[in-house]
Amino acid sequence: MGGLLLAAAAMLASPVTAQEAATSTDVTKIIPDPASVVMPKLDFAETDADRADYDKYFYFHRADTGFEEALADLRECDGMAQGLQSGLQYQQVPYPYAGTMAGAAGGLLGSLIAEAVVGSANKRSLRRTNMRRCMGYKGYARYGLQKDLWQEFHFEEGFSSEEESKRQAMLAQQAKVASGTKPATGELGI
Amino acid sequence: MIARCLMIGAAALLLPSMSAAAAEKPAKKEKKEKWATKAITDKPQPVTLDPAKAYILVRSPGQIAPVLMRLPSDEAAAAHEADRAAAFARAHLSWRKRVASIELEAKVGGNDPSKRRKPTEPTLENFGYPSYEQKHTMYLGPQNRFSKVDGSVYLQEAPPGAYIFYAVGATCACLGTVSFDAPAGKVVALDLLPVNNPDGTTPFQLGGATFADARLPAGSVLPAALKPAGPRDNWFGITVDRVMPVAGVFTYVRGKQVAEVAEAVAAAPEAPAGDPAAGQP
Repeated sequence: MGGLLLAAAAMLASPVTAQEAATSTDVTKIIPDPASVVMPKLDFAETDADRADYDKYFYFHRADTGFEEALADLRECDGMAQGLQSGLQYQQVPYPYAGTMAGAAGGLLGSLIAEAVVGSANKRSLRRTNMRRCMGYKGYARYGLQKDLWQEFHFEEGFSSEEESKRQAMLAQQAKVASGTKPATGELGI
Repeated sequence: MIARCLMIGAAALLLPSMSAAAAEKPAKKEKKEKWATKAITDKPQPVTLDPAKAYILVRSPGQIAPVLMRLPSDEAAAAHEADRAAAFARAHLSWRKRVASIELEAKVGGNDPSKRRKPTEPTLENFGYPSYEQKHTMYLGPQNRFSKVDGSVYLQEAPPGAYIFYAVGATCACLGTVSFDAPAGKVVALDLLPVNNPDGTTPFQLGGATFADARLPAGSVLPAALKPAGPRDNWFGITVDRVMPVAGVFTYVRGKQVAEVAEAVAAAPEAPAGDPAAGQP
């Protein structure tokens, strides 16, 4: 028993030192070597069913754009599409608006938001809309892709989020495509 | 019994750690900045303007629910940053206590503490403290109109300062917005039109408004002087869009605002992610 207590005491003497020392690398800041990023397969035999799903399955491309710039744009738009609330690894308790006029009035906006973002499918749809607007405004053209190919380097997010390292790996592949050779297929518009 | 003794012993050991933690606890803030705004509704009586308050008037063809946010002064930004640092210190302290407790429980139970699942450590980067703007949000409409003549007019009493336009309903101008000054004792007026484009985008058309109403003191209404204010985070997780270019004020180049006259307004320094790059070409 004494040994256990001593062990506990030793642990409390530096309760989280090891944790603190293990500084986590922020994967959202890393710029990978584009040569190390695998170029995904983009060519496929287009069918009517593929064309019907282009509002969901697409990729971006912009001329005269480098890999790093494309990755920065994709990350920014991914953050916008995701919404800050679900993009954080750690969440502070919401700020105390309770009892304030702003809080009371905020209930109205909250109900509007709730109406707009009900259900996981709607959330995925919202993400697509936001990515399209954000990248479209940045001058990226949108091109359709077959669902199976799309899933190789894209993710959808409803109520659950993809692991950050996987997200970043896929965003890097999207950046490689966005800064690569101009696709031969037709542009879809925002 | 043995386990109980172990727990008591462990608790006794925990006490010095907790005392040290308590000593690190940040001092309570002395004074909180008050934030309150008030809708001025459609009444026949003349409006008496409080010389210590600003008044923001938004005119739109239909009933809408605009969201505005106050920008911090240098002093307010510093105070906000201090609040954030104190909140972070509290959150980190709480996390350390929780981790220590989990590790202690594992050890007492004869398990490997490293194999116990622990909460994510809060860092300055991932700490989700609300921005100054989020804490100073003003919700207008769709009811409580000041006037229903030629559309919907909303009039809000608020602390003087600089404000940004953030959203209408469930669509924000996160991809590019504008700011304007709201001086004390004046009514700053802007026209706001949400646009539905054939391509599915829904940007906002904004401009300074010329507005007259016999209930407002003569000479009190000023058209809002808009300035490019860059993007803002999608704090509410809603649909994103932007304010349309304003002739003579700013345009967009590859999605970034380029000021044509005025300097871009910097965002609050708090932002934990996506530091806005206002007005960069």
